[in-house]
Amino acid sequence: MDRMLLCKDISFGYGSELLLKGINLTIPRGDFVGIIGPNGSGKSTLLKLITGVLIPQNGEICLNNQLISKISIKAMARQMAVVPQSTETIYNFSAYEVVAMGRYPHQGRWNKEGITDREIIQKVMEQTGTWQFRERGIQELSGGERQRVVIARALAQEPELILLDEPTSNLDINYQIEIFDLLQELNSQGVTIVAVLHDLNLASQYCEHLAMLHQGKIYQYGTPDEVITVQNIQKVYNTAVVISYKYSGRPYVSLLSQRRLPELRGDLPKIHLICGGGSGQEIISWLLEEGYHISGGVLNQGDSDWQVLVQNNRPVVEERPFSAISDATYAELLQMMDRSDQIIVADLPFGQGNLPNLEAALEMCLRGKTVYLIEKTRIEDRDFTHGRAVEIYRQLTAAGAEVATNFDELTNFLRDGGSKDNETAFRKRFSSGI
Amino acid sequence: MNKGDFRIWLLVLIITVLIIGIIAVTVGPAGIALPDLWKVITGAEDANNLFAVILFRIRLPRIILSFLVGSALATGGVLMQGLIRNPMADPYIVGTSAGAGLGATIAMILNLNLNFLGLSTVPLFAFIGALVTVFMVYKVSQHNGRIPVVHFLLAGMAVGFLLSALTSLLMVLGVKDYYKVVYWMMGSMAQGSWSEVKIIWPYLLIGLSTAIYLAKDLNLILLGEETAHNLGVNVERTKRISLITTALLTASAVSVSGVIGFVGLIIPHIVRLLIGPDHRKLVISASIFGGGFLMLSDTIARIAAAPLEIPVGVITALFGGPFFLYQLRTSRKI
Repeated sequence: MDRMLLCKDISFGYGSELLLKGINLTIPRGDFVGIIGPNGSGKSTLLKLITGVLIPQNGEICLNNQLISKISIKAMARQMAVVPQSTETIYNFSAYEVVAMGRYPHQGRWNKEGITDREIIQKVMEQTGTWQFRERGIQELSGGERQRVVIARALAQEPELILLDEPTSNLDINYQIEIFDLLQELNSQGVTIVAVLHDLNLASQYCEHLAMLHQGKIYQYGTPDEVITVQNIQKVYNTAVVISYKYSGRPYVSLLSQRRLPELRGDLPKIHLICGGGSGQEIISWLLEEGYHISGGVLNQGDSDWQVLVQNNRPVVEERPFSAISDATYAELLQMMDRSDQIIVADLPFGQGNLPNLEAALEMCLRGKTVYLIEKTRIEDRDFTHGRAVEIYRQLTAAGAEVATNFDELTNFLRDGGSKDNETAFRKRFSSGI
Repeated sequence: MNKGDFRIWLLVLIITVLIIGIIAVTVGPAGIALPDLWKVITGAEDANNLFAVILFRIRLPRIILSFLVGSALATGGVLMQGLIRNPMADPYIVGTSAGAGLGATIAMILNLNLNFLGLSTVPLFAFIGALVTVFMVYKVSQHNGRIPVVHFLLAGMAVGFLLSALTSLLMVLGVKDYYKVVYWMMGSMAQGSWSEVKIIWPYLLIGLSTAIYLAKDLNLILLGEETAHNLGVNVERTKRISLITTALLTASAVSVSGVIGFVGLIIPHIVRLLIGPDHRKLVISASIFGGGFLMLSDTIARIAAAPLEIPVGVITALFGGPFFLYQLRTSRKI
């Protein structure tokens, strides 16, 4: 294996307290590695040891199979570039001047920028989309622009390895994606990338391997699938999360709300909810408060109704964001509906993408399950399928689905067809003012 | 500022400084008209001998000295501000002014009559005091073989306060005519002669060359010490060399002219506002600008209230301050 970077049994601390204890890490050439872990786990310290800013008390660090203590600072800068967390500067150099500084390790002391230097500077500035504001002062740029200038400077070093310390922590989400896409592109060109990351989902989505640090040690090293697990995150971050896999095939972490819900009541019917775009918010909260077993879907990941159900650890049939319901997901939906007793269709618009939800409801209705339709807005006004949804709706009502024109009517239906104990549920609802 | 603009700027600067120099030579209690000046320079037969003496023994060394001192202070200022990454840094921050002040006071109290390398007692003691202080500050702030900039600043200030207090104590206890010390501390070129010029120019030459040699590294250090390290700069070595260079520059300046404030702080600033922060251009520009500025200030100090001399430090502050404020208001580049 072609080793780009090797950390062998390194320890570091101030005084007697060790921040890092016996770190072993081998990073092959061409890898994209994320270093994750909670605050104070030693992520940034590890990065500073690799760059030689700090010197380990124990152990060895090798870059290209050479001890970094034996490499001159300038030679090291030709092999390894660093993108720091903060990119504030006091003095106002132009973007071009800042990128040109990346050529320092390749130049002699008295050399001016040569033709090669200028070509490389232009190339990396175009690659990072910074060429158009090359004349502008670094202080006049936005955070995202400045970060791209700093990445361009790192690229101007023509390094084999780029280290990044939370490169996008101060940036808006659109810049985050932009910068990580750029890193991925560089990685595909053969540059090894090691990034300290705070955002587990960014780490999971872009990195080939992850090193999860915990209390100064590597808690787990492996692929995102191996590292980003509910158990690991529970142990290391002491936080309950749910992980879904559909988005880009990598683990996607969502936080669970710490709010305590009432016990699930076995005497209530199991309900499956078809909703989306916030149309289910009111009814989901009510059902949760009442202690119903509920499930939802099909919902796109990231949808506000999806969020509420996932946060409350309720089963959801899910689909990738902005995607239509696939056949496999449809089959999954039928299975889940089969396990519930009643089906509620919220007051949501129907398009080609979510029409299978309505079709599934019809199928269940025909099989004899109770279906409630909430219709605050007429179905004709919510139909974006050239009449298909209206048609299925008519079939549903013909097959015996109940129509509720407002929320109270629905709860009445549920109460009548639901628990024997519905009086208390009814009173509780009004006393709590929902 | 691109390369072409910079050359023009440098040329204009040099010509302006030369013109100021010529004006400075002609003005004074004994006015020398330009034709007389020409005769003296060319050694014409009807040249006035008195003029020649005034010119070569008194005015010329003083004017050249003021240029060299201003240049040394401005260069020291550029180095310190670059190194500390703080535009409020001043070359005296390394402790030179306080050390030199104490040295000078001791010399005046002891009233010795030494002579070493052409330096008389007061400049000699001032020079030694300055260097010893810098060495102390350097040692105090050293930590694990490194010089953290904040330590250095604080150590410089603390040692400075300590030595100033000692100076005051000595003045009260020991010096009969302590106005001499006070006057020395305000800075003056009045004692300027060729021997002072001889003292300072080698230091300026070495200091300036070193600063130019380090220009690229200093540019990178402006981005932060860690970033500079990651870009391949040997930060600790650069700091060490810059500190020693600044110490020598300011010690030599202070020993021949006393403590002249403002030049080291403001000139690098003004020049940075004019041409940007790139040290490859900044060092040379600031050294010429600083020299010209002090030359002009000293000329004004000489003639404004003649035959009385105003301390040159007063002049530098009086007309550098407003200019700097104007610059600050009209330009956003610091």
